[in-house]
Amino acid sequence: MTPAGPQEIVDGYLRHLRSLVWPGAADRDSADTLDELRDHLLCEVEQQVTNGVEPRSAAQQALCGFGPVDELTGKLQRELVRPHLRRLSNVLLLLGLSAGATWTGVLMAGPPEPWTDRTEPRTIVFFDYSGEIAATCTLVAAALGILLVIAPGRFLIRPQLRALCQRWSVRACATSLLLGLATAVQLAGYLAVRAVIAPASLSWTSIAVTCLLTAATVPILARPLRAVVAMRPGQPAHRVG
Amino acid sequence: MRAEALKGHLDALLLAVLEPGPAHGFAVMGELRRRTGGTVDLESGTLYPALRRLEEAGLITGTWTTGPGRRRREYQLTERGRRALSDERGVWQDFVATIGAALAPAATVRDAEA
Repeated sequence: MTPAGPQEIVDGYLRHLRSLVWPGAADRDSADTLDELRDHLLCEVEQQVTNGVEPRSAAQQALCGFGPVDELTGKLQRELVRPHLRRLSNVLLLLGLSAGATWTGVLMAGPPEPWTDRTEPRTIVFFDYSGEIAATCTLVAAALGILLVIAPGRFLIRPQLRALCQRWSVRACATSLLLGLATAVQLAGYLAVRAVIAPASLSWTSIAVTCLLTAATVPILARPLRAVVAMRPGQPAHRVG
Repeated sequence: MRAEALKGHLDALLLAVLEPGPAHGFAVMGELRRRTGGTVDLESGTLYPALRRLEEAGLITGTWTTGPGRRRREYQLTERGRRALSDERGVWQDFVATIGAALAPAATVRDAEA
């Protein structure tokens, strides 16, 4: 069996790095980054070979110059997760706004509520107000997530402060996501209670269509969410044996 | 010199290296090593995340070219990057002048005042 040449050594290293930096979330961004790193490593190998170093040793030395894989993984993830985090915040805000507007429109366009302010059941009052508060907080958290990930990127601020903003952006996105789920539960609760009290007061066809539309947005949200979870900033770097 | 010692200055160093014209990552690292007489020898794991950061901040732009049989990404300063470099130079010169004056041996200070 022929021993691996310098290109095979470099490609093997990059495959390993790819599995650590993008666990199950490889995309075009990963291909670009790996191409850039590959060019760097091969430049290093070529330079060393020109200086008389044996090609396989040159490849090993080039890899050593990259520093420990776990450190490189962490550094790359911290930078590469940012576009996914920005996308996630944008999607959360846009989906929150569109879902809020659609559901409000469907309920307002349907039959009127079968109660007055005085006779409104307490459970409905609870779902009404808590739903509105949760929905507003969902949007505020998503907007905060966008601000925290975009603003530091536009300035040459200290890396520590930038990393802090990034961590808080992740928290804002997680909060927005949880509050969005809470809003959905409250809406479901509102509809269930109203359906029990006065089933004829709901336009079931519109509600079914809106439910399907809302469910159809899940994959739009799932993609950036999966990438951010896979490349979560601050998670312990993978150890390499 | 390791990356920790460069904290806060790495971005300015990279901008300065890219000032004369476009260069790819490996060339940036080599030029930085050459300019500092081998004192600053960055790890590649520090260089590429820093280049990403500068690109995101709009201080440099990256374009794909074809190297020797492979894709290669070259970076160049933007107008915003040139202004940022000029600002960083000013801040650094003030810093060196101030700290240099404070650290100067007493005899030198007396000579300067005389």
